[in-house]
Amino acid sequence: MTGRLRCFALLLAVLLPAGAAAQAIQSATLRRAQQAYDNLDYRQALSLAQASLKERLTPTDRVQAYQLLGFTYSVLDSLTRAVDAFKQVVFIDPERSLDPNKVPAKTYATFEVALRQVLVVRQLAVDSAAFVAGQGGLPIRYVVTQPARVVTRAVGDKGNFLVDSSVWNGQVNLSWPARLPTGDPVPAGTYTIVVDARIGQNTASTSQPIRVTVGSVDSLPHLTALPGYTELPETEIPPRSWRPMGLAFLYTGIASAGTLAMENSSLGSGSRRELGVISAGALITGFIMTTLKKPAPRPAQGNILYNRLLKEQLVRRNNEIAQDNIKRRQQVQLTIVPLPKGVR
Amino acid sequence: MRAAALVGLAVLFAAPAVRAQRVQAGAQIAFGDYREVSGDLHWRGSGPGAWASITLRKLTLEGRFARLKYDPVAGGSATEGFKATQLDGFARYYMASHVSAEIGFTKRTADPEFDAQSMAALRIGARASYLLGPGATIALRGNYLAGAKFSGGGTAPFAFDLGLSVGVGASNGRYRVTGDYDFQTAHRKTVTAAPLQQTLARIGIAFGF
Repeated sequence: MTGRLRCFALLLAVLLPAGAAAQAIQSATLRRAQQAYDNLDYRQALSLAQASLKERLTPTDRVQAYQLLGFTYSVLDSLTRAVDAFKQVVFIDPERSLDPNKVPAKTYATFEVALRQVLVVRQLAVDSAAFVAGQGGLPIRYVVTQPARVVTRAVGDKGNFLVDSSVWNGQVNLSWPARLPTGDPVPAGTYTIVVDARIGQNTASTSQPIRVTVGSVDSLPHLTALPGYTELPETEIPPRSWRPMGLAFLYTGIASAGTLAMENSSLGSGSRRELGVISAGALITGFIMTTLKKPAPRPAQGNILYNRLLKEQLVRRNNEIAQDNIKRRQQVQLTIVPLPKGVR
Repeated sequence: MRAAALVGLAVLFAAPAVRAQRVQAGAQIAFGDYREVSGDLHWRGSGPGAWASITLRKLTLEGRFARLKYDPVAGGSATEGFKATQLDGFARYYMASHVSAEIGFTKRTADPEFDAQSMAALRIGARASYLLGPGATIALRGNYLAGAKFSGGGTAPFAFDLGLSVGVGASNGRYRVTGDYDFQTAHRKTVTAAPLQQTLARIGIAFGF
């Protein structure tokens, strides 16, 4: 039971990719070849696929025919022929790839061998990017299937700019700063990222159009307060104190005692009216200031120093922002987006 | 009188020009008690007064004026009243801890001239002032009256002036009610002891700008 299930699963895995491709096939011969492959009639599938290649096929059908041949040779263990067929697939459609989860491992390995025997540049990807000229770059990725001299350029109406020229193999990650040799940003416009790979006489190429727009960099607003910090009150109400009353008593006491002490005894008992009136006024004032009136606010030195420090920090930060804005006004913001292929 | 008017005008015109200064002036009602030689020569009186001061940083210049009409107290030996004109000047320099050093003069003239002693002396002393609360101050003053001169002659090696002042009003000092107490004693000696003593109270309003 287990063996039958395993066979069924393998069959499904072989048939699924072919079956999906068969829906788009235009050539009748190729469709019959695909049906023969689906019916496990590999001899018939081989002869029909080879026959279809002698016909006038669309590029899609041609790729499908070679891929069917590669699958069939792989199943029949004719690996050299399978690799040759897959090489034709990659030549015609360099972006073609197989899903290792949907094709037999042997077929996938054969395709990978074929891929390493031809020079192609594939899976070119350009990400959208926005950066200040001179402070970033446009990410560019691609895969080169064999060690080769690879020249990457940005070609446009406003000029051609070299992005990179190196020997690469496998996954390549580049960053294009989009600057001229003078340091200025490239002019706005539509460009095509062209990747050319060369080994001797063998060449491969791929491209991706992009659009470059140039804008100004936003300047920063000046701060009126430091985030998270607020100024503290520079005065504080001291706690109520009996000091005013005590001082009023002390001062009037001294005045009274001084008067009594300095009075001339030969002039008789001195007048108390004047001293009494003013002393009463002083004592009432002291009482009011002690009990009824709110104490006078006094400077809070700690808060004053804190606020001074805060203001200094704010001035310093605004000076930095002003300096930064001077630079920002001289900077250029580059926004680069990839375009669908064929768009200019 | 002309000199006082000139000083007043000068203060009024100079004040706005020097913003670091503080100028205050006030009008007062004064009432006092005056005795001479013995307890029998005893007068009491009242009258108008005025004062003004100007403060330049630590230095304060102050002038006081009062004109009292003294009447003899019943039961005494004095028979005639007189008019006393009291003029005081102070130059005060703030030292530390609410204490200022003070010099100045005091001059009291009697009219008619021989009904009471006229007196003039230099002041040397100190003044302590404390802020009781918003707009409220209290001050205590002690002056030695040096080189006292009298219209009837004689000397007073022991002559003192003691003062108590209180003021309460707006916390910005624009206006306030003031009260001043002055006790002045001079142990005058001629052929015999001929002391004199005056206590004076002044109550009024003051304006600052």
